[in-house]
Amino acid sequence: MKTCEKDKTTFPPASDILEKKDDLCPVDWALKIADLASAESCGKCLMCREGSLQIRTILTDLVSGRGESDDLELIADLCSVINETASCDQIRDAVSLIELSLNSCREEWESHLRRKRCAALQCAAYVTIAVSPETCQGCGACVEVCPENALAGGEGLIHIIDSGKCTRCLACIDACSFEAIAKYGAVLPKVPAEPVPVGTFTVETGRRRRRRG
Amino acid sequence: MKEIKLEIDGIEVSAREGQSVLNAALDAGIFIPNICSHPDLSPQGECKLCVVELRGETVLSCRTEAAEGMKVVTKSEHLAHLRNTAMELMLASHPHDCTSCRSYLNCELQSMMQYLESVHARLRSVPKKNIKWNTNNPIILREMERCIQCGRCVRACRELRDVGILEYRVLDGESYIGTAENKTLTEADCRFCGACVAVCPTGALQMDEETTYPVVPCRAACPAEVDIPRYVRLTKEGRYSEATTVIREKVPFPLALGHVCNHVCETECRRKELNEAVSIREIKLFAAQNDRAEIWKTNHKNKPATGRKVAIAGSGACGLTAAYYLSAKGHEVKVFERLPVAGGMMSTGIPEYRLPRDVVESEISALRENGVEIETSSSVESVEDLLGKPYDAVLLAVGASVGKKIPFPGADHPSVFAALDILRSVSLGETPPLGKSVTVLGGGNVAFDAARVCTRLGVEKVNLVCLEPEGAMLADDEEIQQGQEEGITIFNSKSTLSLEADGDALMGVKVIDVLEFSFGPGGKLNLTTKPGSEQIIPSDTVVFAVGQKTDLSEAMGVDLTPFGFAAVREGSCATSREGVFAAGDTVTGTRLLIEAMAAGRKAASEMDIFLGGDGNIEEILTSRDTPEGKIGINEGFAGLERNPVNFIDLDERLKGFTGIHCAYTADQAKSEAERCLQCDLRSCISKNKTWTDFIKQ
Ligand code: SF4
Ligand code: SF4
Ligand code: SF4
Repeated sequence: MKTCEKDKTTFPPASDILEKKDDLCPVDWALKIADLASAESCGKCLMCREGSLQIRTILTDLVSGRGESDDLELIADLCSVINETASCDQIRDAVSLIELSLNSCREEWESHLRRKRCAALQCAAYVTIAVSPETCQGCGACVEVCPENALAGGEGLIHIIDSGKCTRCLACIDACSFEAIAKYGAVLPKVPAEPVPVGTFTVETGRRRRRRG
Repeated sequence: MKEIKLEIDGIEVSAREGQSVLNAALDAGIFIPNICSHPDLSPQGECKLCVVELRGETVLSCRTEAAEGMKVVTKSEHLAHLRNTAMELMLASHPHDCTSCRSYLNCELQSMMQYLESVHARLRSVPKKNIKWNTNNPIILREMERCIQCGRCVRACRELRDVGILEYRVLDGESYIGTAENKTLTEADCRFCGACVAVCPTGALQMDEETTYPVVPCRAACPAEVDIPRYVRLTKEGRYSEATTVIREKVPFPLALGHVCNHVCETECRRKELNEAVSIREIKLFAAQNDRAEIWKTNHKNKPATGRKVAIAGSGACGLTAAYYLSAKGHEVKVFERLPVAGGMMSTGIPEYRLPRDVVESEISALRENGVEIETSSSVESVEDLLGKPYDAVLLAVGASVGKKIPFPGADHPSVFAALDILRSVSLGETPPLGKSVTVLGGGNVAFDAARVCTRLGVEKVNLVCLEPEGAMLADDEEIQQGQEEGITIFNSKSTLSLEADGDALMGVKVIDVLEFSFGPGGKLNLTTKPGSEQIIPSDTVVFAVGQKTDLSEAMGVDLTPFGFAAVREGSCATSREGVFAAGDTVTGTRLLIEAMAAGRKAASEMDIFLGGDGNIEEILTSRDTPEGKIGINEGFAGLERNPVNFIDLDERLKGFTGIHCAYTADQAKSEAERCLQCDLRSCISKNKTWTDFIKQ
């Protein structure tokens, strides 16, 4: 059943979750569904209008480190109330998908909430961008594209990223032709504290290699 | 209609065929929470508060038709959880500052929060962005941050009014209630009927200055509480006789009022927030002049004779109104009028060119036909002559018929008159001994009446001297403008010092410029004048138009106030003498015609109780059909301009005493009536019952 005359919105398919692809974050996926549901709501049903907004708000917190301890239960409860009382199928479809993600990837959701980790490295707040000191060729292409001026370096120097300034826009990753820049989760590569010449830094010692002769 | 029996919470309840479970429960006194539903609107099923259990399933009771043998459960832990979650969602984007909302304590959302014991707690608060649309409108205030998007307004505008300018809209992924293309209400051709305001359960929609404006401001402003929007609507529909009858339900002089009523109603008309007030008086005059069928004559019936007799001293608006309603209550009424003509100010005060005498005569003869006996040229000297001989009650309604004069040096000159004396003698067909130039002292409507009468009597030069500066005069703007057109010279901001005479002949009025003035306690005048600005306005006749008093004396047999008015008990018309009542100008001093009629009504009601009646003088003279609420779109409604009042040309005006005011044409009357916002339509909208109403039951 539908409340308005608009065509029903198509949400991402359940198979996304069922196939458990490595690069898919189930929480981020749920957030996209909530976003879409809220944007496409005609406004005539409380559950769709406010429910999708509320879930979207909670999920946004969840992927940005602001989750609260009961959030997963809260989302589960909201989904079930919405499912039971909503006036039209559009929002029911949406919350069924969100429930599916929560139920089949509970661990990953927990990890977002409690460990602030995103295994698929999709949730920007839980990702760090770093330059591998061994791969960097000191070309400076990344410096050019960074809108935040978060990269420091110079010709022939190993570039480093100021995490505080970085907004995880990923522009540098695309710009680097040596694939030296990548997203990292819990384990970060060792990087020099300041730009040093290419070839003078080893991961093993974390020290500058003495230049011979 | 088939009756259906169902069970709600174990109680057998009957419902009409097609009725929803929600309405069946509410009718049976079982409260089911709800906020998007409204008794006059189709169900939307938006708010989910009305969930109930039916055969183990959760359904919305507003959208479930009652069926024979149905078993419905309205209370359970699970339902409570669903309702609370719905409330939490509603409150998530609602401001928390209930106390600063105009609907505080008069809000269905707040009442529902109390009932469900909801709190802003579990959920995130989600502020809305689209709340600034369409917040700058006349009459209707929209505080959309308080909107819960229940859609009642959308449905009311469409279903009750057939206007349909409100809709759910979506912008930047957020829905809100607005108009097509976000037009302002004026641009969208809103009728400003307030239906949306009436149904809004929150403080989101408010009527401008709700606290100071009554729902139907014109009717509330009218001293006689005439049902203005009703007769305006009937006039628009071409039902002139019914329109006049509506007026007659409250006052027996619709024609006279149509000519000269001061229309305090128009001052309060809500339409003036859009452009100008509805020209209510002109609509009244047109309807009254076109009352061919005279429905009221058929429908008005005097009650069976009570055998009680009432004497009324004074046949002015107050006395005759009281006489009409007292005879309607079955009492035998006789009115004593000291002058040879009945009507008081209507026939011997207000000049004929403003209020044609045949109009007054026809309205008075209608009263006579209804059993009111009037004895003219017969004055009442003392209530002793009447009380018990054989009258059971007496009403003093002699008015304030004595024009005051201020004792300036020279004011005792024989060429100095009071305005009322001039107006009266002209009305009685006499020619007052005026000279070639007249100066009227005073700036109110009576001053203009006197001045304009002098002009019509052929006085060459007519001046008017008043304390007030231009723009602050007490007279109506229309009077001032027409007076000037007719050649009257107005001296503003002048205080009179003396009347100057040369031998026997009056020479003129000595005045001085006023810089500032105010009235202190007891009406004492505080003046600042400009030294050396004295001047003499030459004139051989002077007319005082500075207020009126009664001619009552102790001989009448009732207590008087220190100012000579009849003393009455607070909030009553009863005088110091049992069985003797007083009302109108006799008590209050000069007031408006419509106020005198309202006073006459009040006196009639009080005297009826004294005479053993129930005091109810209300009459229903036409059928009370429910007005058509579906007013539809009227293009450019807010901009419809007021039809000007029709007056005859200046040179025709100056020729004599024929009436100068002509009624609207049928087209003008219709288009003027079309401008009315029909503020009363709101009163036809039901009030949604809240849980507290059920507790009271
Ligand atoms: S403005 Fe009032 S009636 Fe209209 S949707 Fe909002 S809360 Fe409901
Ligand atoms: S026409 Fe009436 S119900 Fe519709 S928006 Fe205007 S005032 Fe509200
Ligand atoms: S708009 Fe009509 S109903 Fe409202 S105050 Fe004016 S005359 Fe009265």
